[in-house]
Amino acid sequence: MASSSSNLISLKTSDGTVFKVERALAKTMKTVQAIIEEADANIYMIPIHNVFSHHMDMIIDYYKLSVAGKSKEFSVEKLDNDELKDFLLAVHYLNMEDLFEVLTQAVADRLEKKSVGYVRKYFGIENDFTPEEYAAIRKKNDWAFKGDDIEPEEDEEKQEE
Amino acid sequence: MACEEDEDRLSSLTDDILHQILSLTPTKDAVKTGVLSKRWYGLWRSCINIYFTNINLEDESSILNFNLFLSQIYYVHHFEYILFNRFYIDIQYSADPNDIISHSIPSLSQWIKYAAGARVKFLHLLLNYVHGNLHHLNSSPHLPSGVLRCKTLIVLKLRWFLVKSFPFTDKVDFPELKTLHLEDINFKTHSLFMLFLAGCPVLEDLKVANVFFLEDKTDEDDQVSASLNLSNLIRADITNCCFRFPIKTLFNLEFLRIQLSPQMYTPDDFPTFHKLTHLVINNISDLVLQMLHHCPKLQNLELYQKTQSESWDNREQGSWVVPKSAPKCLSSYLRRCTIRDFALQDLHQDIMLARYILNNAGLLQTMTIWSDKEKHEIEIELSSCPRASATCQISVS
Repeated sequence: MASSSSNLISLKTSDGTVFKVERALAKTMKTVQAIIEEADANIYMIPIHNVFSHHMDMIIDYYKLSVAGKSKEFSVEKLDNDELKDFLLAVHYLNMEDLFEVLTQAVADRLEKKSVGYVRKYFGIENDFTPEEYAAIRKKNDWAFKGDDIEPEEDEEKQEE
Repeated sequence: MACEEDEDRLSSLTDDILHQILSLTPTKDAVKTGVLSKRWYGLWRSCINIYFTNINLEDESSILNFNLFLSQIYYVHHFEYILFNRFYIDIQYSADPNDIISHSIPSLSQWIKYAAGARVKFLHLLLNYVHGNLHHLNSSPHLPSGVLRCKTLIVLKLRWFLVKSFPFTDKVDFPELKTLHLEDINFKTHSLFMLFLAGCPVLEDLKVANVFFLEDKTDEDDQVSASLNLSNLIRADITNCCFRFPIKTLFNLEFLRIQLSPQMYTPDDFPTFHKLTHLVINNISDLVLQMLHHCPKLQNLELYQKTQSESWDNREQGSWVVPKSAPKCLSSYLRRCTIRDFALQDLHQDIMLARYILNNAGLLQTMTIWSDKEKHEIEIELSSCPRASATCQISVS
């Protein structure tokens, strides 16, 4: 009786939607897999915090593509920066190795060649250096900044200090 | 308000996520993150990889600028004891070969020696030369000796080098190397190449493309070949090579892509590939069927004809000969068959081969044909052919 409980696992997202997914997909989520393995008998519904239904939609898309050998066709281009970060956090929570690497690569690609000011805004990083400290570090690795165009955001920052 | 929530979410980007992002970022950009904040000051140091791709060095001055860049990172690394696992260099040169050899290679060599000391695990040294004849032997740079000193390597990929000898040592020793890709590599002798492979006892993934030799094969070379042991090899990809690879050493493979020439190989060269489930091979009908006899468990077969070098294209024009017995894999294992460049040389032969497979492959699920010509005729011929597998789907694109 127990084993005929289907090959589908129910996952409930933070916004209350229930997704029935194949066991194989659930296996790619190490966090979920750990919950399943620890539970005694059938587990009806696994709540996944920090994961919204729009995240699950994309996760299922990715899964379908990778099963068909087309994982390279998966794209997160349509997501804006915040949506991408959100999705990354969800996938990180679920501990899905492959998709995590895809998303971190996507973030890395978006940050490539961007100015310091841009990156700072993107991650919401507060500059806790004193102006002197900042200038010293900037000078030390000056060669890394060479060849970039003048970055208006960065210049603004300097003026603020 | 919304602001607080946002901040909580953003600051929950843990160090491990940031590490991952930084390690996928080109070196120059990763270094720049050091100015962001105190937390970030230390972040890139512990996960920096040497990762330079899409570098184009067109003349002497761009080579010298890049060298300057490399030496500055060297000082950062050296004085701050940064560990790194990956050293990826992908450079396309269109500068004068003399400038490449006298200015760029020594700078890279120094870095590789440093990498060896830093116990690097993943090394990609991919060089490329544009506007030149790659077979102009004198212009390939010598393989930096430091590469052979990187005993901790797990992955090694090399492109565009000349290997004349193994300096300081008579043998190659990569006790942990699992992946080896060699492209556009010129070895002085066959033995050097065989010894290179012999130095990788746990190799699992081998790719060899356009490897060639300065000197002809000798008897000694054959002896070295015969004693080669690649029993851990699972994947092999051998293309564009004008020499006979000792295929018998590949008996344990699960995936094989190989370009065979009837002038080079006979069926006696094939071992039985007990574990091979996926085979990609150039389509020379007789050899293909002979090969299938040696792949008892093959599930996925891909055939192609177009190759990089034009000299391979000559197939024997001949009439189709019905084989005496069907290869075992056809009746019991083959699930997918893909034939590319269909009808490139001989429509009739290709159709006979496809029909033979359809007739005999009892478990075949899909037969996919890629062709630039005569699609309609191919579709008609194949869909009217009796199939051994009732569920088989044919598609012609």
